[in-house]
Amino acid sequence: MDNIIDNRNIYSLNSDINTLNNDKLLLHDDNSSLLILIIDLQNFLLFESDISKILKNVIIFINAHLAYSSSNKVCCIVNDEKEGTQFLYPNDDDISEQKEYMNEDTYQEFKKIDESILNKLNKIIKNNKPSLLTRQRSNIAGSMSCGLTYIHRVLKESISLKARMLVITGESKNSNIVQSHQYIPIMNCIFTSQKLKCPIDVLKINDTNLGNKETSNSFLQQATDATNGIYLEVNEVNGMIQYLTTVFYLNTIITSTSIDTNLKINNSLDNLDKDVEDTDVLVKTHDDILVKPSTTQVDFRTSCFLTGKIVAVGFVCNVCLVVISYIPSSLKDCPCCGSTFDVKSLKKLKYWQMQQNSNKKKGFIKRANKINQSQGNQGSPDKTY
Amino acid sequence: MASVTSNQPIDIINAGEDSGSSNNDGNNEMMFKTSILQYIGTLPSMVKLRLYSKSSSSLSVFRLLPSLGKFLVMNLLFQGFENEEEDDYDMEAEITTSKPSTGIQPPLLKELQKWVIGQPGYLEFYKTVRILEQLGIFVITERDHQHTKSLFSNTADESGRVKLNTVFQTALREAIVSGNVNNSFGLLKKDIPLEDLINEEELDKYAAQKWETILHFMVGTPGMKSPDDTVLKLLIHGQLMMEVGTESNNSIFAQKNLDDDEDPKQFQRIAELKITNHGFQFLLQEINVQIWSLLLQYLKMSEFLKLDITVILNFLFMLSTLEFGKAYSTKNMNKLELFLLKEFSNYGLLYKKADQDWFYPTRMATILTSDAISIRTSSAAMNSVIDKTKGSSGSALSENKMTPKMLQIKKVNEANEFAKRQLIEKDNSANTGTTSNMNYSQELVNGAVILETNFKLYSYANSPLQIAILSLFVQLKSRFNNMVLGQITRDSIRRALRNGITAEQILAYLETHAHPQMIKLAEEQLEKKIGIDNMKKRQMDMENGKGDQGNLFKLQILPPTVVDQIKLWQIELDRVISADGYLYSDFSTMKEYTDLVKYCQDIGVLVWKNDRKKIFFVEKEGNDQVIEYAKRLLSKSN
Amino acid sequence: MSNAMSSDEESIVIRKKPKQEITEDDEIINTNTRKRNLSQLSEAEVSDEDEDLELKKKKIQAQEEQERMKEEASKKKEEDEKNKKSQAQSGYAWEDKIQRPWDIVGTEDNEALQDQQLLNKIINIRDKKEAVNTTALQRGIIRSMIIIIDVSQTMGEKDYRPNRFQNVLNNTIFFIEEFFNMNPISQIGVVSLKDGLARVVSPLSGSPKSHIDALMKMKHERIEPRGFASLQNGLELARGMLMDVSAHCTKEVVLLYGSLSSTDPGNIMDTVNVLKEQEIRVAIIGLVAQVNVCEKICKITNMSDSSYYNVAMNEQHFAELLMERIKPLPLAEGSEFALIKMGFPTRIIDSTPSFCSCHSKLNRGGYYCPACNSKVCNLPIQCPSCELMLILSTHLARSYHHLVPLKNFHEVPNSEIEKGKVPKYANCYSCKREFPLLKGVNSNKLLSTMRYRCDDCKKDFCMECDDLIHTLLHNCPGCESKVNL
Repeated sequence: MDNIIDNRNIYSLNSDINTLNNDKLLLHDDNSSLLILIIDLQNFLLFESDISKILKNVIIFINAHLAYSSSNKVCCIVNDEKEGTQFLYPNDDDISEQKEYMNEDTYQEFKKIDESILNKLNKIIKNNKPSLLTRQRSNIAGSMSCGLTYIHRVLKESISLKARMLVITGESKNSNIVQSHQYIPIMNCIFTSQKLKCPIDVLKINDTNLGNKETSNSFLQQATDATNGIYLEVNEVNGMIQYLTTVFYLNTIITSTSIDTNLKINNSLDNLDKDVEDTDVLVKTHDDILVKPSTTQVDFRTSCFLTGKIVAVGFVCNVCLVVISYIPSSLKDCPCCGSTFDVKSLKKLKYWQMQQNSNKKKGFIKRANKINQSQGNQGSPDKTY
Repeated sequence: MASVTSNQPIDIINAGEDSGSSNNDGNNEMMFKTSILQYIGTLPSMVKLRLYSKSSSSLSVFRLLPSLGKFLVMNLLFQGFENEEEDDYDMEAEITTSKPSTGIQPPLLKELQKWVIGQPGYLEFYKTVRILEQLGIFVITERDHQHTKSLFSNTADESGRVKLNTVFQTALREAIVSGNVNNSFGLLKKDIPLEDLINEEELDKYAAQKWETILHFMVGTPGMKSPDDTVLKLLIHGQLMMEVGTESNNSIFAQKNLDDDEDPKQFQRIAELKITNHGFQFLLQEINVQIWSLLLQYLKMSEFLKLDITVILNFLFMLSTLEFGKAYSTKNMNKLELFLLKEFSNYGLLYKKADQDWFYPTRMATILTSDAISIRTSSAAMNSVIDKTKGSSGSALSENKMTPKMLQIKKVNEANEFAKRQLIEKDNSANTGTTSNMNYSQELVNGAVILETNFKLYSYANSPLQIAILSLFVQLKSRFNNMVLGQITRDSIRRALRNGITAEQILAYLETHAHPQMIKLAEEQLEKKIGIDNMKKRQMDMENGKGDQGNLFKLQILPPTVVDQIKLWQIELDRVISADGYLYSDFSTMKEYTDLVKYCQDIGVLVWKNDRKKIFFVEKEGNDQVIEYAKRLLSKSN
Repeated sequence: MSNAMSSDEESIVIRKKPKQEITEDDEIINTNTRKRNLSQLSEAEVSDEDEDLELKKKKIQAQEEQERMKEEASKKKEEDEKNKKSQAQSGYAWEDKIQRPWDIVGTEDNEALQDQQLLNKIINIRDKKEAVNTTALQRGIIRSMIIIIDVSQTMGEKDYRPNRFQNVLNNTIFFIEEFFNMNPISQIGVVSLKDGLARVVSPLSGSPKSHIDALMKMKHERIEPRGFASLQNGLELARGMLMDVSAHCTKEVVLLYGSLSSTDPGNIMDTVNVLKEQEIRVAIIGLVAQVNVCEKICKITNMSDSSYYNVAMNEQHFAELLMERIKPLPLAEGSEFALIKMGFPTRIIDSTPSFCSCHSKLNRGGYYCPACNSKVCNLPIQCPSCELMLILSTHLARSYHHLVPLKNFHEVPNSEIEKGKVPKYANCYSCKREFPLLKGVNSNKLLSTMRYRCDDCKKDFCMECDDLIHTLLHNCPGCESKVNL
């Protein structure tokens, strides 16, 4: 029983025992991981030159996810501007009509899914000529909702499965796509994915031609923050595969390791950190030991109902929770739900507002306000990875 | 490195025994993964290179890696990929202007280390790196040679740059980007005559029958056909079974030749085979562990026979990546591979008729590199097939043979079941206030075991094999149409323990075969515990969205009383400790006794004493000293 | 028939029984009685909406269907029916015959009945849900709630497992957690009634942790329920605690009451009237039986709406009743609306750790108050230095669905599929599950389409998605996918 002895110094890295012998304390995957991939074609169709490249990378990413473990699953959804949400995989198209896009001897598990995605996608792109004229609403929340119901369904069907979601979105020249109404639906999606314990990752591809700085999608950024996901903006499509196989692969392995196997890792042999010499550290998932890139600053501000400005201090209606940034002197009832406000409290607030304004005129601007304003102008908070 | 090629026959089985809390179901799976990786690690680097040159093998090895390893490999896989890429399947064949390739330096090991955090992360990282290095997947250059000399420092070697083995890298990358893989994922056979088509059910039946024959033979079910000769040789070689006869082991291998015709003499001797302790342990493993441990034995035996290991490994990995239910051509296969086809069909890994030039992989083959979950389900599927064929009901009819009327009824039933299930779930979620994600599989897992706190055991087992395995450690009381009822008793457990089965193995077996209802119950209890525990913590990480972290509760599927008792019964066997020595008795005074006892204690040779009876027991080694002292004492008092 | 008549009468007597009970009866024999039942109910119902009526119509249809099915079935069923008759809903749980699981198990000849039971069950579950009003109401989102727990000797009874008091405690802990999940900008306080006195268990605050800790302490110290409960003392204490809550909050008291009497120092009606004046709304959940004074209290403080007094039938029902209190109350006529100043801080991770101003703990991450720039570590909180209410916009968003509930989906009528038409969608729109066809086992008749359609986007959803969408997601995937404004 050599193993008994071996296990006592599991992590004695310098000792001569074969590492392979006792690596049962390494984390292995017990779970299957479901990847919900959402491609925001609505924003993508515009920079056509890159689309095929992006999609090719996406296919590689799907394959990489499937290669991780044979029990991993994929669901791919796109939202375009014609039909709204559409499932690329699984879809109910006839298999016999499919054209073959890939080498015949590709690994069957990949081929089945990839072909189905490519076929459907081609159909969609062919039918879809971008229309720049009509005003549209962004419908990414619809796709996310569909993805969540799909997760819900698959979770019910199998034990030990974890899901994660990756939203690949672009940036559109088309200012006609209206985002603001998306706030509540996306928030609802966030709460649901918190309940389903599904992290949401977001990859945003900026079009460098636009040169627009005011780009970060604050709603999706909040989604990643609230669900422990990763938010990343990429300017160069060429490097995309690197991001997909590194940063966004993190959640593949995190969702694939099980939480039940409590592994005790004994530190006693290492003098790297004397303080924790005798403590047993409990590592259950890779979540505990892997570094996720995090955004240092997350914008939690909301937009003002009246002016659309992003506000840090605002007034909230206690009935409909609408946020307004300033109180017009004529204001008597809520601009959103119409409930009449109490006159006394309103007066108090107006007085406060007046004071603030006069302070500003006098030049006594609080440092805090200054900071916030400059942030408001910048729009995209700095990120470090 | 050298220590791996141990002569220990079944080290795979032993590997998990000692880990204390080995009733983790993850353990078994890890075992087979490590053991096969371990084996590959020992191969010479040239063999490894030839192995990795096939995309299917690279992909399979990738899947077997520990999860952090997979991540690191994936990290490096697409290094510099953009530069050399060609568009080979693109929809609109957009040719990109590729940048001139710059000689990118491979990343420093320390750079990669940034992915992990904290002490455990550090340890896990370097452990993984070490494994990858041993497997020849990581090539570490520019190592700081100062470090390797100081073997006894306590930190890992952090120096050097990491690169993927180019052979491995291209093979795996090609597999993932679905590029040029040279038919390493098998050649589909399309033009098969209709009457020769085989459906999945039949394949399952075939595989199950082959595999069960082996297991039945091991359990010694009377009236069962004995498996093929080569299989028996392997069983003996792996020391799962023992020859009771007089002939020496070597004789078997001497007779080994590539075309195995039935040898009546051999056959007779085989009848005298007896199952060993290892064999008993083997029986309790999960099916994938069993397959792998046999295959590993097969590899070791082949090494002995000077067969080309790479071909066998490549063949196995290829087999594991084939699609179940599809036919594959044998056209491009060489002689050894054709031989292997024949060999592995004995284990039920594939199905091939002698006169046909195509074969079908069975489910057993396609699960070789997958995870425990999928295996559990597919083995369950296999079991249900066995059940169907054995059961008298007409459910064995495949769907296309059913009359429309029957189909209709079946569909309606299914729909109703579905609706009912939803109702149950609704009720449940109302009850607990939480949505449990158990699936209410209407089809009971065959052999599902319910263990009660009163040591009674109910198993929905139909197959004689399962019943035979259960009877290894359960006293079976009665048998019904679809279930057996048994009682776990001290005697039944002791019998199993004497056979070399450990308590942990029994518990692991019971746990993996536990009825879904038991698991559900355990999950609910766990959730309750965690729920209460978490409420306190919840506020802290409410904003971070971190749910259940840092709770120490474990899922207890089996009733703890039974678990403890079985463990106690095992400890009980170690109750009597024998020690050679001498007993001292008949002291005349208490003082005399205590003086001597004290001395014995001081020199540490006292094994046992009884103050009331004034007797004590001394180790053999210290006896002379004690006598010496006793003499002195006596003389002093005199 | 006499039996049916009695149930008829009773339905008038037991008006304050929860609505769902009425819908729960699987076995109604006489459709006529049923109709009368329903019509009486709907007359009595003050706030009956059109939707509800529709529902009931559907229900009646289902029952008529059932009637027909039964006639078709063999005579052997008559015996069963006799059983069922005695089982027929008679108001109180204890008046029912014991329902044995093996009674429900069908043999072949009453499979038609089984189908019907199944269908009824589905309808009932949906009814429960659809009974939830989906009209947008003005609700008080910022709430202050006092939970009063009865710890008198009656709470030691063991009819609830493990006993009444422990059961109530467990449920309350769960409730508090859920409450703050759904109402992140609200406050709770806990009061206990024991020995005729009322004590503060944990004062009004917005942190679930402090309450849960206090309750856990009670639980672990194995406090024995003792003495009598005093409604008046409890309510007076609650009133005191809610005294300095600002006007824009709704003030609520939830009383979990196991006693059948109250030992009060004065006239309780005086207290109740004061409560009414101060717009404190009391909801009571009884554990044992109906008590007149409790009903009165609820009625008076809730604008003569008696639906805030409920008596639990069993553990599960109690939990359900308690969970109903999570939803914010609709605002009363003429209640005060106000704007509240709030700050929406940005989260920052510093390179060097610094002290937070709320707990004086050294940490790196935190939120900076946009008004005074002091650092706090947790939200929501009142800024310790400038008293600005700091919240995350996500906190506000959590409450949105209370204000704008998602419209109910409606079951696709059988006729759409029965006519041999190929349905427009074979799969659920959002999860791509194939719709099951629920058919009678022998009759092969379509029982239900099992698809639920959104009235706006005309997409069909399966039962599970419908459930998820309305209980958790609150988005219609179909409507959100629309492109046109």
